[in-house]
Amino acid sequence: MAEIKTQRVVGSVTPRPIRPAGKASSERNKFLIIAVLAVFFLALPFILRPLLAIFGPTTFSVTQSSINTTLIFILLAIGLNIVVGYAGLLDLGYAAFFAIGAYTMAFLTASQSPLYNTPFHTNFWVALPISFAVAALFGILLGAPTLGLRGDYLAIVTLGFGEIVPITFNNLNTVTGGDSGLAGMSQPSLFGFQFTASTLEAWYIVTLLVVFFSIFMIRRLVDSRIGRAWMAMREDEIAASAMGINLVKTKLLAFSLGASFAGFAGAIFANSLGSANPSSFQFDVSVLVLSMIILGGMGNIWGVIAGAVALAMSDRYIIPFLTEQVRKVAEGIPLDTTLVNGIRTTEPNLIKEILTNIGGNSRLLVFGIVLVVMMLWKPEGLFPSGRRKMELHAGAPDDPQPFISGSSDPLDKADSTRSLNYNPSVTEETRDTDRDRKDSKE
Amino acid sequence: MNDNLLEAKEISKTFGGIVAVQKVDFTIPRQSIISLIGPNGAGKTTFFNLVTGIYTPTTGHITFDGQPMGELKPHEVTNRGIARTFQNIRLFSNMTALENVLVGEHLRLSTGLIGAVLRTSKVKAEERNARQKALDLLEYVGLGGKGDEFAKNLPYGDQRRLEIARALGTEPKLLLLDEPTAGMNPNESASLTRLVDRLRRERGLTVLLIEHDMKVVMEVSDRVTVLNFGRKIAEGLPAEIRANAEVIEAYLGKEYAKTVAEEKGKN
Amino acid sequence: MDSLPVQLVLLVLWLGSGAYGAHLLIQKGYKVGWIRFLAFYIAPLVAIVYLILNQLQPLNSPWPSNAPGVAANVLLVSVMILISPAILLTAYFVPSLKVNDLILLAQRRDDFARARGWLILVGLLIVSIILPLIALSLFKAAPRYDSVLSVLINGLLTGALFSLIALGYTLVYGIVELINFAHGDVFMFGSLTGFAVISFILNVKPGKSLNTNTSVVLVILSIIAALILAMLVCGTLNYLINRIAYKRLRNAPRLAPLISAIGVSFILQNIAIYLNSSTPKGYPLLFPAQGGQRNLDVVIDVFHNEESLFSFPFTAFLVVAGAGGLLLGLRYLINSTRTGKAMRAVAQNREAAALMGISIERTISFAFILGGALAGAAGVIYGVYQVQSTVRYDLGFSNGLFAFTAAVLGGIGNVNGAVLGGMFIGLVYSLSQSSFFGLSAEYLALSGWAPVAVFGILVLVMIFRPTGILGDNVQEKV
Repeated sequence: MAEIKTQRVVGSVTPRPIRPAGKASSERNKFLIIAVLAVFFLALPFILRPLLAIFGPTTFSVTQSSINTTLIFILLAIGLNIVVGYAGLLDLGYAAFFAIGAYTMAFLTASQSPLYNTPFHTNFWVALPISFAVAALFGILLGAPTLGLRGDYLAIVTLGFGEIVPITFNNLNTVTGGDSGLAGMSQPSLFGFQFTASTLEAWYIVTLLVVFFSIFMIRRLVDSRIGRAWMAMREDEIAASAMGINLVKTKLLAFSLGASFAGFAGAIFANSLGSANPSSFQFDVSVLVLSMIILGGMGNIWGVIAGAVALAMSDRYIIPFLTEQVRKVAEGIPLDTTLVNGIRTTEPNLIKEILTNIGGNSRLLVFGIVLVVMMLWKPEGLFPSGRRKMELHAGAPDDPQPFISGSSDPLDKADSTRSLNYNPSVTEETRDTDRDRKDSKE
Repeated sequence: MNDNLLEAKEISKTFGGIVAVQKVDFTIPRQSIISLIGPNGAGKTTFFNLVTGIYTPTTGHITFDGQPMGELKPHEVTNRGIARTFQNIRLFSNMTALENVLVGEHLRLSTGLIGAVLRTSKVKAEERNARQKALDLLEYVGLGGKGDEFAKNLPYGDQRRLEIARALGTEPKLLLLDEPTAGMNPNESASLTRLVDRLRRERGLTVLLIEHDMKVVMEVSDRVTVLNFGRKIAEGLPAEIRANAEVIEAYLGKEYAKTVAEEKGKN
Repeated sequence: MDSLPVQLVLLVLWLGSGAYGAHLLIQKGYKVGWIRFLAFYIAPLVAIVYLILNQLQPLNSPWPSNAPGVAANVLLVSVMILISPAILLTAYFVPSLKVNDLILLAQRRDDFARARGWLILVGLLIVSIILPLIALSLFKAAPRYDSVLSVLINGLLTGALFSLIALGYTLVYGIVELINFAHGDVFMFGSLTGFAVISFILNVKPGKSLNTNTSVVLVILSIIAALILAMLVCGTLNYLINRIAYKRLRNAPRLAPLISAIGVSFILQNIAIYLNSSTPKGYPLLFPAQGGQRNLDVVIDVFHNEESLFSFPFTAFLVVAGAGGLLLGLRYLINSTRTGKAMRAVAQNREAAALMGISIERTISFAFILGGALAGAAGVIYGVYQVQSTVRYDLGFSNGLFAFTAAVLGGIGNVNGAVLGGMFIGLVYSLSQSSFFGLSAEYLALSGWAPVAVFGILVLVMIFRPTGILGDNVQEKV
């Protein structure tokens, strides 16, 4: 958390100054802080184990496994942040890539996989980059047809993909094992150390290293030519393409990079559990990850990580704790029983029933409230990047608002159904008839 | 090498039944400043969009720098060396002025995914040069020291200048300016006129200008082309255009044109 | 089937050229010349003839072997033979007109023109229904007429429900350009309300069946009461959603209200869990069987053949009456009342409407209430019709998305489009759950391909024609 705060102050509140050469000492300090934090996080499980042993035998494994899940979600959030936060493409089917990564890993390493007795069966370390690549490929494949679509339409199409992918995995039961999934993955070993589902520290370190690398990579990318292109595209597609940015390439890069992070996360997630099954990749995962980046602040990697930690932890600890209390209250309510014709029947008690239900499941409510409240009061998130903050507060002067239809600029009108002429399926002639009405003023 | 940077032969553009541009021949000699004028709805902006690849001509073809344009996408057109500004400013308003110009330079930089992550010395050098160049361009258009301002916080006139700087970032041969002085006061437009003139003199740029402010047009243009209802109705030196009856008619209506002609006759 | 490859080639040719024809028709409104006409329709003609000949072959096997059965088969085949010139005729006449023009034509006061417009539209509809059926027969032996009929009817009835939900999406989108993601959950609340009301009136405990001596009149009254209450509840609910979650975001970037809507959807689902627990509850069977014959069901026993017993459930009439009545009512409301005119005006141009003294916010609220009420009614009808189906907190998610697909397919913002799209999606849904594709019972038990088919359509429509089938028809836009 300390890291997050320093970054926020340094990085984003004021526009980034052009870095003069003579700031070596502050650079060195920053590097030192990062190194200390990295070592701390790497050593965390080894500190936690003796500490938590005091509280009971299972406390450590429970804590550590939720920390591992949190790391997976951080990875997902970082990846989705590329697509939504930087490139401005709302992807509601992000769990699909998570699933693709997990299933690629499962196909390549599981004993139940149809590839088990073929040369394609391999170990974790080979399968990991393949999962990465396959997810990236699917990012391109699923991203390509949606390139020409405007924001909310894009969201729905990606949602469609997000539904299709797990359903397909579920239905192709001869290949994917149906709803029970593929199990029996061969888990990795490194220098003689054998990973299993219970070597939580080892998984933690592998995931953490991937997270470190991802953060490093994203920070560098955003501060480069590519990051500027994403940002420009998010601001104004038409101007961006007029300035020489290849929208197709830039969007696909964002899609595939985002997808590849999910692929990584999926592969590690599946192998650390030892199995992949479709129920882990439903729509609520996509929304959970989206809530994380919205809570933390789109476009700001530290904010996104904070959001991921907050929501993943509350999903694991705070919500169960609160619902547990409600359940206890519900259990305490006595039931009235009546004796009718010698048969004892219990009267249903609505309040008890509702309280039991509240105690049973309240996750969706929390995510829902996070989304609504954030959108209404703090759309830029709790740890905003300065830029996004301005963008998301309504009324950017030159932003072509959807409702304003009287603009005479034909470019704005081209916006109204699709973005520019980047849809390969639209031929020149059809575009003309499409524009027929729109441009009659020109 | 041809003397003309851009040649458009008989280009037409129809939207369904509406003819926005009709058989327009158009040439832009190298290092010239050509103005395109005409009443509202004359097809000027459509012509711009044809040149920049946002539309493809229905008939006819455009040759740029000796090579046919074909059906290029906007970013490919920019890559060829045509840059533009927009009639209603389209800056990346939540990016700083410097970043806006850097986006303009995007095309001329080569850092790829891996380069950006590894940040090799070559990449660092490229980035440094790009920043320096962007600062120089800002200085050139008169925005020196405003590099860290967010584009949306700049005053209106500066935003127009920033659009020009951003376009210059793409290292164009031909610069298309769509009403660059719209909404400016006389002082601002005079200084922008000077900037346009300097672009040609100092940077050897060719400029195509859409402009309503006749003062600017007459002052800076080598040649003026007049469109009306998608047709080219006149072309010539500024002075000739000023006296052209058809042009006056297009702008001011038949009655007025007649009066002007009569007055001329009297004189 | 040894001739399968040939058939497949022909099928591809046929569908491909048909699709190209449709593309010309819809996107360009081209007048197709004779040469093109031959090129694009000769191949399909050959394909059709071949297919028909092939149809005649298995005449006896899958059909009832008694005389009426054979007669029915011959009838079906001759209909197919008759259809093929119909395809050609529509193919010839239609390309000179746009679909939109056709609809305008169908709505003109001139009787002759109107008749022609409708004729062509109906022709198109028949073609679009028969085409997939013939295609299906390629993959499996020709389906029995009664199963085809029941799949089609079930598809249209489900489609009517989807239409009712889709209207809510379309009404709201037409006016505020917002995808009301929570709309499906409003539908779910309608279903829950209906469940509660019906169970209360008929005094049925969850999971129990109807008391055998309950009078039919009381059952129908309880359904009506459920409809009215569900409409009230859902209209209010949708109004509140708009007030709380969307109103503040009117001028925000358009993704903000969408994200807010997803949040609302999750909140509603969880509230439904609180009220109804996460275990599903089924509506009681409202018209239970009495002595072998189902109460009030219409049994079409055409051929006196035990196998061909096709029953038309009474609840289907309720769907037709309920959905049809609501659709007609909506049509009247939009076309002929002051409020309807205000809605159309706001949909077309917000600023101009405001300048004319129309209260924008009030019109928006009204659209939300109307959409919510329709969804509420749909929820009750769904519960009553799909008896065995279960009402649960996530009922609205997939159904909402199907209905959204319908709205997009028809052209979002377009009322007629929503109905058309709803019917189409209903057919697709029902077909993809049928055994026509030769899918094994095991697959069908999963019933998982229906969403894939529907979402596939959604993706394709979004990519190739985001404005939908009737999307450009501004006149009917609301």
